[in-house]
Amino acid sequence: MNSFLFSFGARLLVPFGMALAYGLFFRGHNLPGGGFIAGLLVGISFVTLALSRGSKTLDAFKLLNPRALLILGWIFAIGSAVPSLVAGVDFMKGIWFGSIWMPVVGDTKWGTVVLFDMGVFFLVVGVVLRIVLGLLEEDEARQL
Amino acid sequence: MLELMLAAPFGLFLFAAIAQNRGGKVPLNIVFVPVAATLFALSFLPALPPTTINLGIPVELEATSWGLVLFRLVTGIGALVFLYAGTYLSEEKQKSFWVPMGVFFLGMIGLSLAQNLLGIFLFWELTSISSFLLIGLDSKSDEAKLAARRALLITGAGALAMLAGILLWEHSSGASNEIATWAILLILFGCMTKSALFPFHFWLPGAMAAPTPVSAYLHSATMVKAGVFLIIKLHPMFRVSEWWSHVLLFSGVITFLLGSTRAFWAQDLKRLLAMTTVATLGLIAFLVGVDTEVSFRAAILVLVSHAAYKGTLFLVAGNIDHEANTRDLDKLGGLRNKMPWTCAAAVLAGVSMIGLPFTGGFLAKEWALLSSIGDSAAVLWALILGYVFLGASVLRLVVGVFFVKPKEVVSAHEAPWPMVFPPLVLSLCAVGGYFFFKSGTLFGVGTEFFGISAPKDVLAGHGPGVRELVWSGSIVFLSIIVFLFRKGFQSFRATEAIAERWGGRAVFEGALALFVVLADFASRVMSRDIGPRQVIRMVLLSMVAMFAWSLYKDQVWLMFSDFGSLKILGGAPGWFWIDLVIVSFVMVAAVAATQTSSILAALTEMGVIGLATTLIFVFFGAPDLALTQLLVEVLSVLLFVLVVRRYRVSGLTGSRIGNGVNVLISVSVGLCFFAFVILGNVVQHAPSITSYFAERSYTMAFGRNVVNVILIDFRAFDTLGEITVLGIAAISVYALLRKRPREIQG
Repeated sequence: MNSFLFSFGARLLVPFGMALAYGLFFRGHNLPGGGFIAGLLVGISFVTLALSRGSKTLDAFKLLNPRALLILGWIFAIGSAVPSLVAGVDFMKGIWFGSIWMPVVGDTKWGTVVLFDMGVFFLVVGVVLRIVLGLLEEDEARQL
Repeated sequence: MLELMLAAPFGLFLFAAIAQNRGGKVPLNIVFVPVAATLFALSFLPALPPTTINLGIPVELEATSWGLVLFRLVTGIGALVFLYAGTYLSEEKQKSFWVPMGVFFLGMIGLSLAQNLLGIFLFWELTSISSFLLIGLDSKSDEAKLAARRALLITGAGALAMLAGILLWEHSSGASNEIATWAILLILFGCMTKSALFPFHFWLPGAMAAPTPVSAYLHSATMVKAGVFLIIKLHPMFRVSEWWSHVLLFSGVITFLLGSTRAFWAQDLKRLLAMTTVATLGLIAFLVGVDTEVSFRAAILVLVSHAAYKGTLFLVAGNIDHEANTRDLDKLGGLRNKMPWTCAAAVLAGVSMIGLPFTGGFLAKEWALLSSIGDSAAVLWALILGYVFLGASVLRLVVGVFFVKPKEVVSAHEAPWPMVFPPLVLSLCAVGGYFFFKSGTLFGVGTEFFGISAPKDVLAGHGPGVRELVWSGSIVFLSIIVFLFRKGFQSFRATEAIAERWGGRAVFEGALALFVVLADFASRVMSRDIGPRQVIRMVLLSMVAMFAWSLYKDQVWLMFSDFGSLKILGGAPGWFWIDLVIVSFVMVAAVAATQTSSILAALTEMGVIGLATTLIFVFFGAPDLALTQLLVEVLSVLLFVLVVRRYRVSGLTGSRIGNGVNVLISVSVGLCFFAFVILGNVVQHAPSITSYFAERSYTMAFGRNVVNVILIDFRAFDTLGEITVLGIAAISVYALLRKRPREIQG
C-alpha cells in the first residue's frame, strides 16, 4: 500500500483524529461521543498510519505501546472505583470533583465517571492497536 | 476495626506482589509474621462492632465467637508457619510462595469474619484458588501439578454447587420445602469437597505434594477446616433438613474409618499425616451429624485440638524431611538424639493426639466418645476402631521415627531455630489446650448456636465421666497393641493398594479422561474438513434454529395476520421517501455483493450496507449508535483487508449444490431476522426502562447523553467487565498470531 495519496492522507488523519477525539471525549457526557467512540477514532487513525507506512512507524510514539495502553486502561477503570470504596457509598457510584474550564469544550465536570471513561478510551485504543498491529506485524514478517 | 483486619492481609498480598515483581531478596516473613501476630492479638479486643462492606454485593463482617475461633487459628498458626516457611523454603520457592499465601491469608480471615452466605462464598473461592497455586508451587514436578489440578477441580466444582445452593437458599427464603432441601444439599456438597469428606477425600493426600509449611497450614490446620467450619456454622440453620444430618453421619463415619486405617498403612510420613487429617475431618462431620449439644461441643473441641497437634506434626515432618532427606517411615528411626527439640515437639503433639490425660486431645476424645455412646452400637464400634488405628498411626510416627532403632543409620541433625520454635509452641498449645477447654470458654460457641444457657461448670454435671475415661484408656491400650504387632498387619497393605486404585480417585480420573477423549473427538471431527465457510454455515444454522424455536414458541405468525396495523416505519410521512432510498441502497448493495467474484468488491458492497445502516441511525435519532457504527465499519474494512489477504479465495461461489445450501441458509437467516425485528417492535415483555434512565440521567449523573451515562455511570460495573473481556480478546488474538508462524515452520 505504497500510494502517495494514502500515505499523505493517513499522516493528516492522526492530528485530525486526535483533535476530534478530544472534542468527542469531553462532550460525550451531554452530546454524542465518549470514551469508546474517541478510543475507536484514535485507534483507527494510528492504525491507518501504520498500514500506510509499516508497523515500525508507530515506534516513534513511545506511549502507543498497546500493552501499556491496556494496562493504563485497566488502572484508570478500576482506579475510578477507589473513591467510591473510600467514601463508603455504593461500589463505582460516581463522585464528582468539580468543574474546570477546558479549551474548545468549555466548562467540563470532572469526576470518577470521567476517569472511568478515560479507562475505556485507553483500553479501546490498546485493543485496536494490539489486534491490527499483530496482524500487520505478521504480514510484514511473511513478506520478508 | 473489622475492615482493618481484612485490609491487613490485603496489604500483605500487595506488598508481596510488588516485592516479588521487583525480585526482592529478603524473606517476606519479616512482614508476614508480625502482621499475623498483631491480628491474633487484636482478636482479643473486647468489642469489635459488626460492619458491612459494599462491593456491589454486601459483605457483612461480624466477630462471632465461632468466627473468632477460626480467626485465631488462622492468625496464630499463621504467624508460626510464616516464621517456619522463611527458613524452610529455598529462596527460589519463596519467590512464588508469598503472593498466593497473602491471598490465602486474606481469604481465610474474610471467611472467619463474613456473616452472609455470598460474602462467605467470595472468600471461599479465594482460598480455593490460592490453594491451587500453593499445591503446584513446584512447577517442575508433574505430580504436584496433577495434584493441584485435582484439588482445584474438586473444590472448584464444590464451590460452584455451593453458589447454586446459596442462590437457591436465598430464593427459598428459608422455608422448609423441596427447594430448601436442594439448597442445603448443594451447600453441603461444597463443604464436603473442601473438607475432603468421603467420597471426595482423595484430593487431600495428593495435595501433600505442596511444601510442608503449606501442608501444615492449608491442608491441616485451616483451609480444610473451612468446610467443617461452615458445616458447624450453618448447622443450627440447616438441621431442619433430615438429609443434612444423614449425609454428615454417613460420610463422616466412612471418612473416619477410611482415613484412620489407611493412615496406619501409609509408608510416607506426610501421607500418614494427611490420612489422619482426613480421618479427623470425618470425625468432626460425624459429630455434627449426631446433632446433640454434647456432640456439637465435641466437634468444636476436636477441630481446635486437631489444628494444634496436627500442625505440630506436619512441621515436625517438615524438619525430618529437611534434615534427613527422606520421609519413608520404613527407613526412619532413632532420631531422638539427633533432633532433640523436634522430638520433644513430636512427643507432646503425639501425646495430645492419642489422648493421654491432661492434654487437649484427651478432652476432645472424651467428649467425642460421650456423644456417641448410647447411639447405635455399630457406629460406636466404628468410632472405636477408627480411634485405635489413629492411635497406632501416631505411635508409628512418634515412636517409630524417634525411638525405634532404624535398619540403617540416617544422618540428620537438629533444624535451625525458626524451624524448631513454631512446632514447639504449637505442641505446648496442643497439650495446654486441656486447661483452656476445661475452662469452658469454647462452650460459649455451642451455647450461642443452640441458644441454651449453659452453666459455666458444665463439665461437672454433663461432661464425660468415669465411663468415658475407661473407654478412652482401652482405646490407647489397643492402639499400643496394634502398634506392637504392626508387622502382622502388613498383609493388609494390599487392600490399601486396591483402595488407591479403585477408590474415588479412580472414578474421578476416569471421568476426567473420558471428558478429554470426548473433547478430543469433537475437536477432531470439527477440524477435519472444515474451513471457514463451514464454520459460518454452522454458526448461522444454529442461530436460525434458536430464532425459529423462540419464534414458534411465541406464535409469531399470529402477529402477521394483523400486518396492516404494524407500525414498521416511524416518523412523519416525509420520512417514507428517505427510508425508501436507504433501503434501496441496502438492497442493491446486498444483491451486488452476491454477484461479484472479487472479494474486495464484495467487501466494499458490505461496507455500503453498513454505511446505509448508519444513515438509518442518524435519521432515527440514534447519533451515538451512528457514530459507533461508522467507526466500527471503518475498522472492519481495515481488518478485512488485513485478514482476507491471508486466504487464497478461489472464487466466492462453490458448486451448484453448495450454492443452493448457501442461498437456503441466507434466506432463512434473513427471514428470522425480519420476524425478530418485527417482534421486537410489537412485543414488550417487561416495562420499558427508557423513561427511567431518561429522567434520571441528568438529575442523578449530571449528563444529558443517556447512552453514555448508562455506559459509564449507571452500568459502569458491566462496562468494566466488557472492557476487560475486550482486552483479554485482544491479547488472545495477539498470542495466536504470534504462535502461528512458528507452528507453520515446525
